[in-house]
Amino acid sequence: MSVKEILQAKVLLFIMGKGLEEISATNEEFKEEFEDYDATIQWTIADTVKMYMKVEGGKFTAFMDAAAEEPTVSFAVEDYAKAKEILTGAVDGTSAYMSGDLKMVGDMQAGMKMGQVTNFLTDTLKELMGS
Amino acid sequence: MGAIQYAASQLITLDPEFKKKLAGIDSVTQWKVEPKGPNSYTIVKNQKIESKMDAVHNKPTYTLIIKDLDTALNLFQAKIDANKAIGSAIKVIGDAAKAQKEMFILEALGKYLGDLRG
Repeated sequence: MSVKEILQAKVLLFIMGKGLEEISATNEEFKEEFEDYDATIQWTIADTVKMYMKVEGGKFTAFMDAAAEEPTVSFAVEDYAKAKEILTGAVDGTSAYMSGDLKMVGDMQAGMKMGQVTNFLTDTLKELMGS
Repeated sequence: MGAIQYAASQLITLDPEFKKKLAGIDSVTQWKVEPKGPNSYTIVKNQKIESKMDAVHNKPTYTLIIKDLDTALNLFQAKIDANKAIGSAIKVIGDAAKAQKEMFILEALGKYLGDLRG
């Protein structure tokens, strides 16, 4: 991975992690929909860029540049370009999983829920950015 | 803005040339996006960059007032030339010469993150 790819991957995971921290603390619809969600979710891009989120009662806390000791579910994307497509919402997470670009290990149910969470975040961000 | 400030702090570890250019800089930049924020500040010192979101520093070296959120996003993606925007889309309060000199930080970030949204 080039410096540009590493930096972009870090920033995309930051936006997801901090975006979910913010939305899970302030958005009433989100709180209601995910109040039963408890999990530790690990994201890894190209074995290099890592971030995990702890979810308690639907409330997210992100830990940048870190690996969880016992994640409930782990997501990994080997290829940076694919990671960018997934994290910017250009490619749907479920399609990426089906095609093998997005690997998921651990609790399938917690992983599926994460898909719903990221869709919620992507829709909210698109609304905010006006696109 | 948090993402941009995080990116700046990470770039130091990834790009030695960028880190080298930070040598000797000791400043506090207050960011204000009009009309309603976000506001934050960035401290550059000892070749490190630290930021605090939703915060106002009591003695910034200079304050950059960005006219709106769209301009801020374009600025951080290098779609606007930061130096040319000073005086129009960006107002500077405080040490304007230092602000201009340190715009390379934004330019470097723009180079790396410019196409992040495609």
